[in-house]
Amino acid sequence: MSRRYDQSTTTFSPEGRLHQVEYAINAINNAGTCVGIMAKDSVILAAEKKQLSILLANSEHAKGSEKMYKIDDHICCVVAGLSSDASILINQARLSSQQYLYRYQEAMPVEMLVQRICDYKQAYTQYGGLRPFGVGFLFCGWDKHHGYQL
Amino acid sequence: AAAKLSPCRRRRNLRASPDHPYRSVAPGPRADCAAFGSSQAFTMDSTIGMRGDGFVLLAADANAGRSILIYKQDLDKILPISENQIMATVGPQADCSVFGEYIQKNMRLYELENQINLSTFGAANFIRGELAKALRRGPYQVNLLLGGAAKDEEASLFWMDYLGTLQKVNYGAHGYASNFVLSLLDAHWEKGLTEEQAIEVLRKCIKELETRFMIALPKWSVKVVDSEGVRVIDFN
Repeated sequence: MSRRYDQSTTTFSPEGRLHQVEYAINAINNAGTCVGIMAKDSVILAAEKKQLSILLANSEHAKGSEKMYKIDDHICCVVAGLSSDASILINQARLSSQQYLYRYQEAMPVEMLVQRICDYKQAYTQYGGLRPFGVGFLFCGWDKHHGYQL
Repeated sequence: AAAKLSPCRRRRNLRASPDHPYRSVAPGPRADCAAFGSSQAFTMDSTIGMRGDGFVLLAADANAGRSILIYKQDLDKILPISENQIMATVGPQADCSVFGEYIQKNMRLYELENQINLSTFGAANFIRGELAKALRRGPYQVNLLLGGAAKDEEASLFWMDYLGTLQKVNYGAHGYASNFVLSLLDAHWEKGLTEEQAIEVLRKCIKELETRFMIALPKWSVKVVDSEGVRVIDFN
């Protein structure tokens, strides 16, 4: 029954659900675990790397990891979900951060960056033709407004 | 990325560029400043500012006029752009009000969208960026002093001109007054001025203008900004 209402993100099911969004959440649930812990003087992130193939290079030799990313000097994140989708959002996050730095010559507040990414993702659950991102993030960072944040 | 609220500048008498069919060229300097050979429209207004212990004092003359005529003598040229930041503008009244309100509204939008306030340094760079962007399109002929004393932040004064120059300063002035008062401020300003001391220095500056400057500037609007907010000083 739900098959009829899951073809597009712009279609509600009769129960008022967006199936595409729920499938995206399932994609995240099936991904490698990420953990974040906030301490008094720091935030710690950890990610479980699943080795999908012996052909894929280890993190020490490869350009970067598929789980942990630096957004700016004061913000980083771990990713759970589709790596290709995550790349788009990481680029968007880095761009937002640098645009803010360019305009205000100050580091972007962490919550503001996260809000930008959330708004970016939300657009894909409302406007037509594109599926939502199958990615979940844990962002951590420091700014002068709220200190260490997870 | 452009600032969210764009100024109402659609109706501009833009001249078509001589070598391009549909690109326009910003109007050149006004006829009255062509004689000076400068791109800046000189007006008779002035502003003086100085930094004290936890506060910034800004003073701007209250005259509004053109050529030999005075329209009014109680114009407030010091705009609050946020709870803890004020901006004094010098230049043709049109540009000053348009630009001043543009900055005010964008600062308010930032506050509403993000539930935090921009620091004075951030605000200064934002304003400078807008002046710089407009410079090659159709400059805002606005010179300004920005003073701010947000919480957890040292009181700071920024000097900006219409070209997008930005400098953090201890004291500053714009307009013809700068020719007269900068030396006085250099002599009398010191670190950690109290409010009374700062007002005394300001009185010395204004007395100098009364003695030596041809244009009479009888009324001034004087404001102090500190971490509590903006206060108007009854100076006259």
